[in-house]
Amino acid sequence: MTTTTPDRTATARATFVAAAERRATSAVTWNLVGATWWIGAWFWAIYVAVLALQAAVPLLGGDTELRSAAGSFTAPWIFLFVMGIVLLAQMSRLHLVAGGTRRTLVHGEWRAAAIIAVTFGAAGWLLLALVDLVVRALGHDVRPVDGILVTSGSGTWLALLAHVLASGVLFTTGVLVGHVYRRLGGWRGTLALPLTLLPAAVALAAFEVAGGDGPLVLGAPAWLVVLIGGAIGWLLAAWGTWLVVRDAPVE
Amino acid sequence: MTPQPFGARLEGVTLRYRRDDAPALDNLDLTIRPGVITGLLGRNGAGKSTLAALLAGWRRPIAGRVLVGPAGALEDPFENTWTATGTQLVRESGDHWEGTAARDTLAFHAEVRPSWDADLAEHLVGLFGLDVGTHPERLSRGQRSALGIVVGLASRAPLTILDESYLGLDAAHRYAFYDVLLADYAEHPRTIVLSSHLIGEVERLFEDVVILDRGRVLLAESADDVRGRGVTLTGPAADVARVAGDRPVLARQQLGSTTQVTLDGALSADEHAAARAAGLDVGGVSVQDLFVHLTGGAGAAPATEEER
Repeated sequence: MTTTTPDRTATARATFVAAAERRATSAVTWNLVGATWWIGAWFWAIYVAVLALQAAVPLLGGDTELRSAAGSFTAPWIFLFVMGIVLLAQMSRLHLVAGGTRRTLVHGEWRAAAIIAVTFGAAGWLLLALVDLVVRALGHDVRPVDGILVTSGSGTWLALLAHVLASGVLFTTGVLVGHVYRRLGGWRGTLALPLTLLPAAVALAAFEVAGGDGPLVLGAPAWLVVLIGGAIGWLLAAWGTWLVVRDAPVE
Repeated sequence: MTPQPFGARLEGVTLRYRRDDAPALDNLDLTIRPGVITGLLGRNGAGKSTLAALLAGWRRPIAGRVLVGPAGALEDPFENTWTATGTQLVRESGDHWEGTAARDTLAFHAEVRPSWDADLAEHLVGLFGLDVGTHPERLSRGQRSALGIVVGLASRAPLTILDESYLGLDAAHRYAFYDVLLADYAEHPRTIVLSSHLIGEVERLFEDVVILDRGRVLLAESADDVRGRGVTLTGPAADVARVAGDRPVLARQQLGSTTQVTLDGALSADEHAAARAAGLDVGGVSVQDLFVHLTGGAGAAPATEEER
């Protein structure tokens, strides 16, 4: 095997660099997605058991009107927030040691967040929809407690949108928090939490507004509030990550 | 594609970790030739690891320029995909992927490194008896060092920097590492920077030697020039003292009536002949002796042989 080193022509170099960046970005993306789902398998196993128990106990007790399983709908979001912190703490230095750059690291994180958002969000939404379906099929009523999931009209699809966006925002916010702790250390990282948690707060506040009974912001439909709030939160977290990482030294 | 080893040039480089700290590197000028094995030496805190981090683009200097790349095409390595892909720094700490099996660290490098040699990696894993199913944080220090060496060599990077990364190995594995390093270097020429405190062991590998002291370059020249900076005389103590005269002594060892002294500076032809006539063995200076001398040794400056 020969060592692949850059050719001196500009074209060859550009091709080499583009391929290297694709490879590095892809490594971050798929390792993050893989690790999240690998560890996530444990989470899902526990989560499914909890949901089943949550639905079964009242049914066995003879309740005819049930709280929706959606009562624990934020659990996957919290899981992703923690995974964002943990996985990036492990992977960021390794990536630079392996010849990646801060740019490819952040791009990989962004792509991983998108894939995780869609897959985790859809899985979480599907699971909750399934539980409600089973409860209804058994002849019981579902009394939802989470406005965001049952907003009249486009409730089902709104819930899907919220799950996907929340998964992306929470994971990216976790990544941001993890990078800030790595860069600033324990004390300053903790002091920065009000700022680093802001993206998640923005998104969750938007979801709360969209799911509430009161008038929506500027009369906008719920889905638009969820979309805009989620997108702003996500962009804030992604932008913050880049600001923190772009010139971070490797300790 | 033909390998093109990377060289490096540092111009007036200064780096401080904190504003009030003494500089880790202080207005440092240095050239690392491409395609040679350079020994990067210095006492603790001399700036070796900081220099390595700058070459790898892990840090930026607060003043000066760092340039890395093939001869005639040096570039700033910070956030530079071109140079990052061609530079592999392995530190003693390992920088592995913790919380998952060691094989995942190797797999990650294989995914990112264009020149990764999986066969060599597998061979080295076997050579060092590395348990790749174990998490790096649970490996012994020697196994963690071995994992770093697998990464360092199998990456086949045009600039490979091994910063104390093999200190955890036992003697047998260290010598196996030196042999593998030389064999692979001969087959796939590249630039290798070896930082080590085990100078006596590795100095035979050096083609160039750089000695840092308190963030500055104390010496940077070829290993042959370094060895020619002094001379070692071995023989009966009285004869050695007579030939050494009042020359500065870099190092001295005595076993019974036999003395070995390392002297600063080369012998003249007449002195050389006199030493031979006295039955003394004459050799070059070891890098380690010169290093100890230049960096102040463990105590006072050495005396002359006559003063001893």
